[in-house]
Amino acid sequence: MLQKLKELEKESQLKIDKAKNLEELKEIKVRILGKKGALTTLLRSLGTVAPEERPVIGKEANNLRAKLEQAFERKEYELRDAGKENQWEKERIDITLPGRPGLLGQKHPLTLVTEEIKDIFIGLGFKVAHGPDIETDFYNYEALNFPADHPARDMQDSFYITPQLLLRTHTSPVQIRVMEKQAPELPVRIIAPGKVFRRDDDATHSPMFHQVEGLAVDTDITFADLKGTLLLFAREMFGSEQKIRLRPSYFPFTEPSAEVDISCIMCAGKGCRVCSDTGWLEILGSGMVHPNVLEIAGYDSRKVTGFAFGMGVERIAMLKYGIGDLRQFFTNDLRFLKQFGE
Amino acid sequence: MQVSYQWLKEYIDPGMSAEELAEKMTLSGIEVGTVEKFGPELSGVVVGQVLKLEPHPGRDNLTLVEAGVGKKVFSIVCGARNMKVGDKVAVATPGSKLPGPRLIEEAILYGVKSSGMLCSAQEIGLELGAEDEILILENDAPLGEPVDRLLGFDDEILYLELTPNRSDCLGMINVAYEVAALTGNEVKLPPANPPEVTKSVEDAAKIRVDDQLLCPRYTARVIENIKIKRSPLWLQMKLLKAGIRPISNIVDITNYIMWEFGQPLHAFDLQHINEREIIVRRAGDDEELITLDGVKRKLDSDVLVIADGSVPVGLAGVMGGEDTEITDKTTEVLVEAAAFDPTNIRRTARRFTLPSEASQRFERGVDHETVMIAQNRAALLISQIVGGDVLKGVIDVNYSKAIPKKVNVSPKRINKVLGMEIARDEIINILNRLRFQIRENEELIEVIVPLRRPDITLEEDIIEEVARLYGYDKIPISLPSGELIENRESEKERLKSQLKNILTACGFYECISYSFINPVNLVRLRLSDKDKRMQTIPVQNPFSEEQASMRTTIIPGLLKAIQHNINHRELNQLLFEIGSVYEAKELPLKDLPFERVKICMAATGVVPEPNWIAPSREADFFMVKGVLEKVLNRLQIDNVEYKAESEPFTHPTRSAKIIIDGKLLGFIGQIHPEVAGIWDLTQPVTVCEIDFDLLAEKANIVPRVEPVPRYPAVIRDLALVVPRDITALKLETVMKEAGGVILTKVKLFDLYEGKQIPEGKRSLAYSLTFRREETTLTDAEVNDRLEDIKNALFSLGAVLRA
Ligand SMILES: [Zn+2]
Repeated sequence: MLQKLKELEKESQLKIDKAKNLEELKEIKVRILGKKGALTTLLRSLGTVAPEERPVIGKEANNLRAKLEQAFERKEYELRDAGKENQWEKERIDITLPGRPGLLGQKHPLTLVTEEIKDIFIGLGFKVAHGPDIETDFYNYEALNFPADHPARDMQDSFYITPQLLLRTHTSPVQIRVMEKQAPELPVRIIAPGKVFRRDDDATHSPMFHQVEGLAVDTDITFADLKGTLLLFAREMFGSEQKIRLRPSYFPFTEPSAEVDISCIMCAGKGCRVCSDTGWLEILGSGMVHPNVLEIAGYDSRKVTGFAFGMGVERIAMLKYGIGDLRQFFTNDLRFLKQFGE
Repeated sequence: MQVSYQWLKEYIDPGMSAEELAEKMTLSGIEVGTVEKFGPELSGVVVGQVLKLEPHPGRDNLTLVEAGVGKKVFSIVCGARNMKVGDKVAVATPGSKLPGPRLIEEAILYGVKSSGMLCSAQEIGLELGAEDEILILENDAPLGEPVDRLLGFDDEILYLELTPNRSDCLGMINVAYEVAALTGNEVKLPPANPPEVTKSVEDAAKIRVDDQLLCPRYTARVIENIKIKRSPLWLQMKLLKAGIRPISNIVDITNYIMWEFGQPLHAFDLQHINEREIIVRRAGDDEELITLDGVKRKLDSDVLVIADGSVPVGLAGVMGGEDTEITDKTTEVLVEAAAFDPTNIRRTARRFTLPSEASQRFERGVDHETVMIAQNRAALLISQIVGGDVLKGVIDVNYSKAIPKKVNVSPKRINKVLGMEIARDEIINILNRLRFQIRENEELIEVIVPLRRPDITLEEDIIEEVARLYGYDKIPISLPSGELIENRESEKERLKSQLKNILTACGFYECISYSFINPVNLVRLRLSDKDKRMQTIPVQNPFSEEQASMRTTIIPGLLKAIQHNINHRELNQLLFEIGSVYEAKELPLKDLPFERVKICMAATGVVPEPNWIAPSREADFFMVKGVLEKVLNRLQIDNVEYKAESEPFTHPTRSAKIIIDGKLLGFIGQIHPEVAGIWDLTQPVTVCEIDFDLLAEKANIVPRVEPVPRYPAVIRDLALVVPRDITALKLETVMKEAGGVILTKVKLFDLYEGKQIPEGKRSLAYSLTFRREETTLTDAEVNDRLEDIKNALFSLGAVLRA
């Protein structure tokens, strides 16, 4: 009996495949699945089968019916479509035509990079702080251990508004503003992005640019913590293979101080034109917060330590995107801006 | 600071190549920018001797020279005249290569064969002597020796990029101490014991210091019977390697000593010092001085001067005076070695814009002990090089209170700050290499810092010294521990970022323009003098008008961008910027100004870019208003009112003020055609500038959700013809009033003016949505309301459009 069902399936499939038009298919369907069709007829002889086998065969027969019904339906669609070729041709579209334009602008590359930097440090438990663009001499210099008339002030040529007010030359004043507000509470852990201004204007300097400042103060912050934090940042920003190198340097508000290099992203440290064959690229300045700075901001420098760092956003964006000319950031040329997403 | 590697080796043997030393110094805190070979490529130029000089047969201005180079003799036609028989000269033999590059070959010059060339200093790449002057070498130069080797062209120059704290390295000997700290090798100090004659300096000059604070130490020596001429070539070469132009023997020696010790010296022509007396004092308010550069300087009591018995003869520590300058006629000199107050020197140098090698060193502070050593070393060199009589003794007016600093350090604290374990012995070893004296005091180490390192005053400074010499690379890596703190951006900053997302989703590109403004650009916006935006905060020291003031609006920044892009054929532009503008509370500023964040948009051209499928519409008032509405809707700000009112720079009838709850949010408007002309905008531009702080105050960042309606709405359309002066707002208000609570939405879906519509009228078509919360509406109910609405509209003068 099972054998007969199998044969019927095979036979029916053959007939369905061969049907040339809908009428023919309908006829075949009646002959197989109709009231007097082959399947029905076969099932009538179920009585001759041993009673214990009946349920098995009954189930098989139902499966076959469902299967064949699907086969008929599929063939029916096929035959129906075949009859409409003219219509399809008339309705043909050129799928190579461009799609309907949607509108989508893009953020400025400096915003994109700043957001990336912020996200990395937010993930490390840093809070974002902000300070004014126009600063007092106290916050921009004095409190950061740049005494009046000190040659260190030559490191940053400032735009003055009045003898006591100036455009901040770095985001470091935010360190003081935050600590002053929070002292003696611990820990402090902030980053501060923002505009800064220096009296320079040439191919590699712009009178206005952007920095992100970082500061962590607690009872046990170490230089090793600074190194670890910056390594983590470099790897998040430039790739997990990144190495960093710290070189001793000088900033009045940190001691010890360090310039931080990353392995050159153009040549992977082998040496190229971009890194002047050194294999390293300088990306930020950093150090342990100077005791004078901690004291002026209201912390006991014998009991707490801190690290601070500051990086130029333009510099990082230039490295990340391979931008050669700093001034492109501020001409707002759409041919430039659209390269970050059209 | 340029450091000649060969010169440095006179004081210490680094035991490694210049390149290796540069790398080591850079990694320990003295950054070496580059290392460069001193001289240019030179080949075939050798030491020769002038054997014979004869006039050229055809040319008066040429000479025939026979130059012997060991066994060979070359006949050379030469244009210079400064050589004499017996002089050693640089002979470029045929086939020589000179910098340029220039190839020297045999040639016939006016009928005479010339085999090679006698070189001037400039021809072999040295900034020395005159162009038409042959370089005369020293008498003992060996014949045939390549000149580049003789002059040390293979020397390497280390270009130090010094941070302000390490200006000690503005002297070669202190660079040697730094090398000693790196290598542990010994520093050899040069001799400083001049032979003296019996005549005492006291008999030749007097010194008086009136201001001990500004001049804590002044020393003077007098050397008589000298003859001013050029320095020997070796000295000139050394100065060239340091990047200093050689002048004459006495001046060169003072510069040499400055390079060696970092101690500037000055030599006065003693015969021009009135009453042979030096007085160090503040200038009088009406005094003047002509400095060495020939400029007359007006002085006052802020300026410390070196004066003689009657008038100032030099700006102390900055620049000497013309009258007492060393000249060819000078026969006796007074050499000054002094220490001045760094701040005063700095102010004077800045005030007269006279930054010099000397002032650069004084303003960073010189070592008061070294003053005397440098003085004696200079006298020794003068006696050796120039000759003359060094008078007995040094006049030393010394008020200096400088004593070496004592700093207590604890190895425990060093390691706590660095986050590692450096052994006590290692710390002591590092301090020894630095030549810092130490005294161990139980746990603590007392460090006595030599005067040459004034940058070291605190324990932290010692920590840095230890860390940098131990090696920053050996410091381990860790992360700050401790509790986590609230670590996200402030609500307001996140709103800013959200706004940027909305605007970019509307097709806008973010711009960043300078926070400065050229005030002319505000005039070009036709702002009146009374306009608040004209009260810009001026920058005291801009280097061009472009930074003359702080911006009070972002509009000029974006107009500039629009203009730039139009010029570059990017005609369709949607731009925005979110940034601060600066509002003075009063001028001149007494306190920090308000920094107000503005959102500015500018649109021009068509949207979307012309394409085959979607119609492009002008980026006009309504386009920008649509984006603004998106922003307001997204932030759930209602109660917004648009008042037809223009800015001085916007179109009189295509502008609006935006008001929220009676407060001015900002404006929107097409740029006035006249202003567009001033700005070279060749196509209509629409701008909008709104206040971020007010927006943030009114925003609902978390949406409030109402239940989804349960009963179906009934929608009816209504086409009207109305007089043109009835605003859409008026129509909508009237419909809403008449429609009552069941009229939940009024939407304009068509607007038409022109053919078939009478002059002065326009046609508007609305879709009205009726709905009730609790039940389904009946047709009759809706019809009744619709009649009320129509009647209300009719009374405004509207008619239904057929
Ligand atoms: Zn590279």
